[in-house]
Amino acid sequence: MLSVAEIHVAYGRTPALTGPSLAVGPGEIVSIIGRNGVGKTTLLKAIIGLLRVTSGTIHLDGQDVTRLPAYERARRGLGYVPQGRMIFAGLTVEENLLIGADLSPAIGRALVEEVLTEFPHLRQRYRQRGDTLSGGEQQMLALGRALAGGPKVLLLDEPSEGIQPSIVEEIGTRIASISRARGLAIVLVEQNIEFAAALAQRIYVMEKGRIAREIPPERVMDEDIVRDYLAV
Amino acid sequence: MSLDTAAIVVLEILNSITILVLLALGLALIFGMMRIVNLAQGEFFTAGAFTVLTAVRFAHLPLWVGMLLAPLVVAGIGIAIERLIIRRLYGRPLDVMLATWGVSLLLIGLITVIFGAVTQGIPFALGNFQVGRYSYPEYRIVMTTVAAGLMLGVYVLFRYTAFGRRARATIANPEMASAAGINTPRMFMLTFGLGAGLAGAAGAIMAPIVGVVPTMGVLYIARAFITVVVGGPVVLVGTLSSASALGFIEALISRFSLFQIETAGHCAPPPCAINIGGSAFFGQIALLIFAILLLRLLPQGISGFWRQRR
Ligand SMILES: Nc1ncnc2c1ncn2[C@@H]1O[C@H](COP(=O)(O)OP(=O)(O)O)[C@@H](O)[C@H]1O
Ligand SMILES: [Mg+2]
Repeated sequence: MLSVAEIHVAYGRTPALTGPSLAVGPGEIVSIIGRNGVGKTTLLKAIIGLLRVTSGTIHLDGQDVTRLPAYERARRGLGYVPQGRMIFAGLTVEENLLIGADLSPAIGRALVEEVLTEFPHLRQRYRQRGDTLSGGEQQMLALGRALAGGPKVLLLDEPSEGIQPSIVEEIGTRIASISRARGLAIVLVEQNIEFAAALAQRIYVMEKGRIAREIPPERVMDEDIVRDYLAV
Repeated sequence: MSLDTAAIVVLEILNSITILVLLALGLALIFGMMRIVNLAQGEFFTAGAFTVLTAVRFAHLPLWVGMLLAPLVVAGIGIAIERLIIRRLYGRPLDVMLATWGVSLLLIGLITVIFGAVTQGIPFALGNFQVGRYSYPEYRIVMTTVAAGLMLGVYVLFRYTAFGRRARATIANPEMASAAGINTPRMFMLTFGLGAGLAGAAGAIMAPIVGVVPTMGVLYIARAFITVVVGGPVVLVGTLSSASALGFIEALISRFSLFQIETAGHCAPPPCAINIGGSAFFGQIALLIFAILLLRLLPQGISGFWRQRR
């Protein structure tokens, strides 16, 4: 579905990614964890196309998308839920979802309806400005916006960040069921290890711009791993 | 004040507001949506007027056909300029401003070479109507209707269409818009073209009442900028509120003399005096002073002030 091979990204002269590789298949959830500043967000931005890679390749569905602009990648089935949600200010909840739905004109409306069924909170706020929603609701909206485009691969950047636990749980349940129901491939970047372990089939630890190792989800809470790869 | 005088004053205020709206709308759109200060906007206005001139004089088309062509032609010019020049300079506001200044000079030169540096008139068939003791040009009512139509059109376009939704998303967050599948370079191009087209429409509709000359844009660009700056960041609300406030003052001071200043010299009957107020000249000075006062009170412009308070 999605495969990333040894990509390099730099901010100016400072390298931020030094060759991480990654592959995710349909219906699979792969999580990437790691300390602040190791390059998790940079990795997702490079995959969606907001940052230019200097070497390496990104394939989506067997097609090379490495040189395509972000909007072309989105149109080919990459959904992006950024860190900090990035709800379009001034647009209503409905309009935010329709931006996503514009990607698949034929079934967009049906996908929006599906999102509203998955996240009933959004239906209650349908005509309200998206940027006036609570953090949890904005996260659901950002997810809904991506899902309304009918993506094949979803990139999630810290969806649990700054959200109250009950909502985190709700969002986690939805992500898992949607991935299963639609055969959606998901790359889940997280600092909340528990959340990542509950959802992911595979977990990778990132360190200084590269993927350092894989850990089995059931072992992720072990003290030595938490200490070695995640503690500040 | 008698009823017909009151009516004529109201009409003149409406006319001042109309002209400011026509001048400012395209500029406000480009500035509000793209954060670009387009110094070539005055020449887009000029290009609109010359499109009408060309259509009527040289192609012998009806006036209204020329007026419909003008926004399309100028939108095309705008799109070409965005693609060739401005696109390369996004994220560098100062360079964009300089580039549009260059475009402005280039367009003036080009139009002068083609049409010559003479002032030309465009004849039109409308007359006057009677308001009590006064007669008033019918064409001004047409202009107000067009200005209102353009504002409504822009409102509907941005509020209720897929294009408008994408344009607003792009302005709110270009990176996220692109990641959500919006072809953002295309949105910028179309928005710029739309702003240029609106200036073209303004130039076309005003062509019959002003002298059509290659440097005409220069005459109007200042008032357009003043209206946009006083209006602030929200395109339609800003333009309308600012044009209303400034147009109101301009029309009032243009019509009514405030006081007289006595001057030296020999007059019959003496003494010699200048009227302050009561002419278009003082109307524009009042507009400028009022704009400066408003900006001291509301540095973010009228719409910026309201947005902060909410
Ligand atoms: N826009 C930027 N310009 C320069 N450096 C950046 C920028 N964004 C991130 N970085 C740097 O790149 C590194 C990786 O950042 P990021 O991908 O945001 O990490 P993470 O998401 O894992 O916390 C950090 O050292 C950060 O300071
Ligand atoms: Mg991050």
